[in-house]
Amino acid sequence: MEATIALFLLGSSLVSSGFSEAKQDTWICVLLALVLSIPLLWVHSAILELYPGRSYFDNIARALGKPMGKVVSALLLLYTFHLGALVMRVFSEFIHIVNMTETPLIAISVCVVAVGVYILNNRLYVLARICKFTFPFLIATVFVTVVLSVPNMDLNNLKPAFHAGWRNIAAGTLAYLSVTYAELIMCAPMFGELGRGEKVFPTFFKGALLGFVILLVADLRNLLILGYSAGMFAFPSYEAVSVVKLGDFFTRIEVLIGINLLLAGFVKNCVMMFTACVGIARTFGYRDGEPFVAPCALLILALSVVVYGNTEELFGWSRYFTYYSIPFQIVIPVLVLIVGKIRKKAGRAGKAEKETRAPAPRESRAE
Amino acid sequence: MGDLLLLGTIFVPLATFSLYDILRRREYRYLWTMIPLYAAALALDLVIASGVPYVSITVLLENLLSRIVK
Repeated sequence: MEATIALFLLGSSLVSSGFSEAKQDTWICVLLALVLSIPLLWVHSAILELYPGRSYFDNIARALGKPMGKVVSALLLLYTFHLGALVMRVFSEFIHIVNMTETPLIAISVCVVAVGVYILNNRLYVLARICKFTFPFLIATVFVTVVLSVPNMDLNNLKPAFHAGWRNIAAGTLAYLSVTYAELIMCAPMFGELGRGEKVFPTFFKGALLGFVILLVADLRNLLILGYSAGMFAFPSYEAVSVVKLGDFFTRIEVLIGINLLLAGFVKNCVMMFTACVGIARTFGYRDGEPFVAPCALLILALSVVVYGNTEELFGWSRYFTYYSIPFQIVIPVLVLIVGKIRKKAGRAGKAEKETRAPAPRESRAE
Repeated sequence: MGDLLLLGTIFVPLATFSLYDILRRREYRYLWTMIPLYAAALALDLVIASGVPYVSITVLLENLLSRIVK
């Protein structure tokens, strides 16, 4: 499960991130975003543990009451579909721009959807096992690219430290938090479905920490190699690693970055599809989410085409994404937890009061 | 036309197999939600394939958010 969370977190961030408003202080943003994400992870864990044994969406419905719970679940569901479409578009755009410029975007997305549906039809365990198997490979590729790019690194690219100013660092941190860490809300429904009875927060945190370490290493590698110019590129990781070569015989290792995206991005897409179908099932009162895998995947595929008119919109949207996602990623979960805790306490107090008011059983006359 | 072919290549087999599976298991109540989802996906696929100019979701959201966030 930790590997799934780590791969989800790395998803598109590993390839497309690496530079923010904080410029050379971007690594500080990655660090601060992790710190800020810990309370958020705790909030999601607490929602799952409000009524143990139930799914995330069930707990939302029970915490807020049925009508309001359904409305909030529906909002989260819309957000899931939208985010799923955005992730799939980034995934196919990357392959389209970098490797397969003549292949239509839809053809790339169709391949992802077909494999994703096949995996999710065989339940979540298959996806979790794939993640467990592929995660070491991702660590190895990041390690290899870092080691091989050491000769191209320049420590001066990180200087002057803290020069970006707290305002820019705060903006960068918020961007990292919303784009990378707070998206982990999409992983929360997985815990409810696996039902292993394991503690949610430690697993969540371990996964996020694993992802954070790799992301920080990758971001530092990009900054040390590219410096300020990292901001010019759509996929800084790919550009950073493309400068690496060992003599004349070992070149073009940026292919490893493509493989990273294929692994992590695919897992992220699958998690999105899974959350969408579980959300549909729970919101509409079905026991099983599996029949919704295919329609949800097809809807996400179609949405991924209409979500952006062109590639320019994809990069322009990042300006607004933070503001758009904060209500879904932070405000709604926190409100659900607060209301749920209050209602649970009030429910317990009401039960205790009823028990004390109930008349004591009569003593038998024979005594 | 190419888009329609690509989208049809995935839509037809997936829809057929999943609907057949539901009918075989006689869990008809799932159809109440599955069919609208398929209809929405099909409608979007047809819009994409027909080449009708459409405003992307991002542009709509950007216009909305730019009024709130300055």
